[in-house]
Amino acid sequence: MSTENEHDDADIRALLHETAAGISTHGSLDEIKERIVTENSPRRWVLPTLAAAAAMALVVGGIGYLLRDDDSSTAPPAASPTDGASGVPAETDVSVWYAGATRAGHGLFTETHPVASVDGRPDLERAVQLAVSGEPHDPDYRTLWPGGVSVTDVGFSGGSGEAGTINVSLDGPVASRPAGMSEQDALLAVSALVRTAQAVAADAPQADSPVAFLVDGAETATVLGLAGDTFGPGEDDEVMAPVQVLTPTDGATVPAGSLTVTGVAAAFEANLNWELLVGGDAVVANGFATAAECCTLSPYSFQITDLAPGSYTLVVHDVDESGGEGGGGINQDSKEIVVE
Amino acid sequence: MIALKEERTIDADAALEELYASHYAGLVRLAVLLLRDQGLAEDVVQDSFIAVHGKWRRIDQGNAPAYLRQTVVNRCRSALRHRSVVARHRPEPPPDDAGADESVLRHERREAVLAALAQLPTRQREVLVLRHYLDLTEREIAGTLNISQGAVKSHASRASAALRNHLAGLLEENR
Repeated sequence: MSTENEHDDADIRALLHETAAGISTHGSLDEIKERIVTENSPRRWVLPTLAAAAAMALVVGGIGYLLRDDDSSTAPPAASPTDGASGVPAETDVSVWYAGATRAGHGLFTETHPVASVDGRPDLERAVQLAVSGEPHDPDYRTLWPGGVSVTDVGFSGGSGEAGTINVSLDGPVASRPAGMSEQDALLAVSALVRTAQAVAADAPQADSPVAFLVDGAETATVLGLAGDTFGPGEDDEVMAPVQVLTPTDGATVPAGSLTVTGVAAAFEANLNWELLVGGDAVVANGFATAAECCTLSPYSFQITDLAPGSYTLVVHDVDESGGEGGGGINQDSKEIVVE
Repeated sequence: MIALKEERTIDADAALEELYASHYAGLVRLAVLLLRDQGLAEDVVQDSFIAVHGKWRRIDQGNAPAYLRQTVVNRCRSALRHRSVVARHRPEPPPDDAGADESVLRHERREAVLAALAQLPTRQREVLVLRHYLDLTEREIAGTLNISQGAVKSHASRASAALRNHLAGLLEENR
């Protein structure tokens, strides 16, 4: 925590003003007026045409940068073998991303789902299909992709890093954005798919590569109405739900006694509250937890002790930053659990 | 600030002209500080002017500059999310026209500050820029970002500490 006072920030203020003064501003009032006249329909993102060299370099060279998941502490394990000795076809648990409600629209949540493995590797196509049309364990989550979309192929091209791509072929109505879907939801739908594909492909040289789409067997200019050549996972803090419970999972049966809850959260002052409810509203236990870091997605865990058999709802949530002033509400994740 | 308070009947086109004259350049600079991308910043600011023009009859016209500012900050946040998911292979960038007649050193300083800002968590960056570039009060920042004044203080002090860390050299030169 800083102990700098207002006075000491004069140097930062000076530096920001100096920086701002050096930024040239293009555009004109006429340009805006012209757009007001010509744009009566909701408009999509227009790519910047005037850009400073540095800004462009960031974007052009930034594909690799944007895709690197450099915060591995928050990434759930990509794939772990379950049981190879049972004689049934081997399955592997993979991480699949779904959307759920947050204080500000939707955010992504991570779940673990088993998929068949082929030659010891999880079935990539099946995992991506789960992200597109699978049923989440948690009934509060859902896929944002429209219905009737099938994943027909997932492959790789190019080498590792910026040069490579993960190629996902989809059949269905996915080139344009379905009526009623917001741009933010389209971004989250794509991010969920990209994150799932990249996590399952963790061993491949192209694991960090962006995803290129083929729709109905052909190249496409847009996916869910988003114009792009390739698509990345997005920054955690931009797309992930701010409060998530990773274990226990929804519907899990756990032994009586003590239960360790784990998850990730991006919370103000890193503070989280939890409650254990019976019958949906009676609080039988509650407490606090602290994430490893403030304000950015980081892991947390806490223990619930003296757990008696029964059915419970576990709720983990952050604290309303506005103190109720803004009517902002909270971010939360809840799990139904059975204690035996 | 422009005095729109007493002129309730001002029409959307006239308001657009006044708002543009007083605020366009400052808002583009604000958006560049938040986004580190000149072209995207101009798009966001122009979109915001168009949105305010379209909603002119329905907004609190006396607070139009604050409303416009809030629109820009919110749209910058959305644009960051968009940029982090969608990648396009863009043509080679045009030469930086602003760099032609300014010293290389100055250009490098600016890039260093923008890079350091880009490393901050979104909220911290927003609070820092609203406070030190736009010189808003804690109360105004809280209103713009819809967070408490306590949260503004906390984000501001973390942001200052982090920026001081990233830019120790530059801040030293300025003394």
